[in-house]
Amino acid sequence: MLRFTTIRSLRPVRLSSVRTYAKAASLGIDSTIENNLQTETNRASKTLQKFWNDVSVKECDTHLTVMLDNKPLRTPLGNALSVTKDRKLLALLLQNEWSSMFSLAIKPHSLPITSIVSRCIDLEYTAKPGSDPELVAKIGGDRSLISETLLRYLDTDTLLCLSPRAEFEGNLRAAQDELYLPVIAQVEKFLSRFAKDPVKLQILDADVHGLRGNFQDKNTKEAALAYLDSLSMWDFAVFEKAVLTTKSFLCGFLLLHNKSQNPSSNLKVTMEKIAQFATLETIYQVERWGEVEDTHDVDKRDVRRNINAASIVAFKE
Amino acid sequence: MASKIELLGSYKQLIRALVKSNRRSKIAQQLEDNKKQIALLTYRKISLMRQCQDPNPQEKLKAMMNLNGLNKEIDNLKQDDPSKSKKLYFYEKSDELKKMIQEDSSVETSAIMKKLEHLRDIAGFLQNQMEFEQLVERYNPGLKMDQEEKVKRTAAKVGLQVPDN
Repeated sequence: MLRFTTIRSLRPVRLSSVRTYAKAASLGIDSTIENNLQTETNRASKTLQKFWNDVSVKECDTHLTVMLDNKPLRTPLGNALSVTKDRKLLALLLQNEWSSMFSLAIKPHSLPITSIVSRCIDLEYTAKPGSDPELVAKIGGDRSLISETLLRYLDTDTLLCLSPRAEFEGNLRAAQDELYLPVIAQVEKFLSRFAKDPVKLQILDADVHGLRGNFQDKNTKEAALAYLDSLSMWDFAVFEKAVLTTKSFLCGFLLLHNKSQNPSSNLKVTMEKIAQFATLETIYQVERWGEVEDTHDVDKRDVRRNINAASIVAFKE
Repeated sequence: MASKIELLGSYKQLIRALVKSNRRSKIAQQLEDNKKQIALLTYRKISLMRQCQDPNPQEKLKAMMNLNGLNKEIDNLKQDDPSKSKKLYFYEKSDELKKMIQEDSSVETSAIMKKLEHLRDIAGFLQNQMEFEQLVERYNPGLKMDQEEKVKRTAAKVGLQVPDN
């Protein structure tokens, strides 16, 4: 099951033969079958048929809306799939995603941008005061709950767990030291703005600590939570996607920071670099043992397309 | 000025990525369209054939003529190979995209750099998305198979054959 899509309605009912490439389900996705809201995304998932001829983008004062045959494309919760005007290229890509689809059947993994944008819109919608608590529960839209789950990724962050020096003749560890440590230092500095005391991220060094769990202290957690609370709902949804893809709180932070209005030059990285951060150990394993078909090659593209998609959705002119 | 040239460069790169990633789906869509068109024409052909039985010789002649035309059209459609179409080398919304990229390009270098980065992200996304889809399809050949084909293969697995009709 391809459970990482955020369009819960595009559940791969008939795709059970596809093996799982990424295990993390997006947080709070309604996995029940009784979901009969009449939206385009639902209809596509139920009938697995292309039912439109023409995809266009309609422009109004503040927003760009994707239209299927003159009807707005709607998210699983029934909101129009529209983006603000400072995200023109995003609208174009959404349109491209729906117009360049195979006509035979719609596969959930073919719509990564739509799924992130839908999640953003639906989360924004349920975050409004006075929204139906049932809807909030349905998409798992409780912000504090999501934050709590995301915080757990900071404990065992990919960038905070360092390999023993004995592995790969120390090459992997050297690369980790070179790539991760400066990032960790910069993130500590950045997060300290949100805390009373300077933030110190707890690193799990396999040589020193051996096999055990890793936990951040209370001060760090509070700072990270304060950072999460400072994000807009849109960015928050992008952050969620990035963390679930990279299994790393820090990578999510890096991605969002680089797409923010004034990224600091110390934290500047490309999306390709973030993908490398997240998969460094795999890169060394592939080098040593060779690439396993249907696993490493697919994963490599999957991580990159998801990171790139998240960064595209985060970008604002 | 230099950044303008860079923007143009990444615009071209983006167009290339878009054209490449849309190629397969365009071919599939064209094939599907052709199939529908053929079905429609075949239906018209059948009704024309009925008209050929008309006792009035003038009507009969007219129907015959039309029938010939239809046959030619169907043959043409059957021989049409969408993968050779010139349309595959163009992105329909290139003008729109160009305008989007070039408009309000502020003088600030940081803004332009960010935009460049954004365009690169998009190209990277399209590339990886295309490769991902191709790989998933390659490793899961059953995904694109239609029901008929699946039944046939399942039967073949246990040494049976689906009767053809």
